[in-house]
Amino acid sequence: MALVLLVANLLHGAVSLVWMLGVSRLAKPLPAELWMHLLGLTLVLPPLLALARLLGAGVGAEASLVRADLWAAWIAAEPAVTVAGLVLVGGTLIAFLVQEVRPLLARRRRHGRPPRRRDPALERVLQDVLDRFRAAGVRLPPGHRLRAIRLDTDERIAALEGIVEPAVVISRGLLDVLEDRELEAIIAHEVAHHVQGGNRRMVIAWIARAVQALNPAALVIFRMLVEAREVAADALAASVTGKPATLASVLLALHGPRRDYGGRGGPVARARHEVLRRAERAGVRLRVETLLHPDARPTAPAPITILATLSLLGLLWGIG
Amino acid sequence: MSRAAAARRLLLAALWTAALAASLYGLDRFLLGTPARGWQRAADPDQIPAEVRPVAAPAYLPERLGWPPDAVLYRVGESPGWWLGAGVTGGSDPDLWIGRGAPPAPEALGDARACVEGADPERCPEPWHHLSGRVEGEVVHVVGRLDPGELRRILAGLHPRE
Repeated sequence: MALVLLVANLLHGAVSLVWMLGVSRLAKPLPAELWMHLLGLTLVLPPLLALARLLGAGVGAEASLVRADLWAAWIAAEPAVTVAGLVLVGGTLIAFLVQEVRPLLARRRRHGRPPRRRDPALERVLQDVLDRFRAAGVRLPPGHRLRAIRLDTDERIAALEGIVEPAVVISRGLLDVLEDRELEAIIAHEVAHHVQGGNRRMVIAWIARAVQALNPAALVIFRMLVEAREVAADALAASVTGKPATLASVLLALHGPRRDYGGRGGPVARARHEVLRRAERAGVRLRVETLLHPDARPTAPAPITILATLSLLGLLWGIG
Repeated sequence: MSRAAAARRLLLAALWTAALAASLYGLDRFLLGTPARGWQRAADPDQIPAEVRPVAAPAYLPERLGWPPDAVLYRVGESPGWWLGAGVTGGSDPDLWIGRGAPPAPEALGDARACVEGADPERCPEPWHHLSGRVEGEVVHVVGRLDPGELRRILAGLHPRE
């Protein structure tokens, strides 16, 4: 049974990824929130479908699109395939641990925790932005009032922190380089994260991904979701402020050449840091291009979102 | 964006979804094939697929019944099962059936089907009698036109066939 569940999960991930890539190619540009929503579903649905299977729900073998139990039996019966499968899932698990544990340790070694203060000027800008969101008809999540915090560090940091009591965190290093309109744009971006589910949504996605630590598709989808979340926040912030170009310039300021990748060390270390810098610029370029696209929209009509959700669910439900 | 462009994108996405579903179905059936449905006949118990085993064999049989069995039936898939039918040497229909599997039972059992498909053992039609027990954790049925005492001895002697 465990092998059948694993094979079904691998199939769910692969089919989801192929479907998503096809839809994004044929129906581009997809609204940013729809893309983020679908990526989140592709992470969360497979474990839920596995639970449903354990409880006896699911299509019969004859009606299945892909018969996971027969594939599992075939894999178990073919030694070469079994070994290849073990290498695949084992390598995926190692990649997951490296992706999660290494950056955590590196961050703790490098930064510590810079001092935080409430900043009245920052709070005023935040309130102005929140008023603009309300005026644009965007419903803010109920619960704790969003706060603005200033980080006393020279690093350029802007983030939405916290789950129960979220706060928009901006560093002194970033405040020193931003103009007023750029500060408004970056705060709008963080408020957009809050509107779109905030860190709670990412925690759920991370848990869904951790449960599927053996599935390479889940790792890929999670990375795509991290990027999609940023693009969706960009799109909503730009639509509320009406200034996509301002937000684009902020992205470039955030990820500009002053960002220190610690490029000390030998030629290999410097080359690695240069590649990382270019990769980050490539990520920024995608976000900037998306912001400035003439057809970019943050949201899709509700019927389209429902239809897309049902299509994905139908495809995955058919893997039994 | 115009409505026509939006409709076109929606249509393309729908066609892609349908094409992917059809491809998955076709590829799965092409690569794995379609296992035969229902009860299949085999020449002897050794031909019963491994996924359906273990098959039980009797340590005791009345002398008038022949062994190996005259009829060997099996079913693969979601409800695997097997049935072995032994009859009087030179006779036609088996007088004894040993087997397991969820209903429906094979048609070859004839009237004896009612013995294993009903929850009430009293429904077993004359002259059939029915007993059941566990072999290697699986429920195995013994249905025969035999004396109930003989059925009990046969059931007690069932063991996994190597």
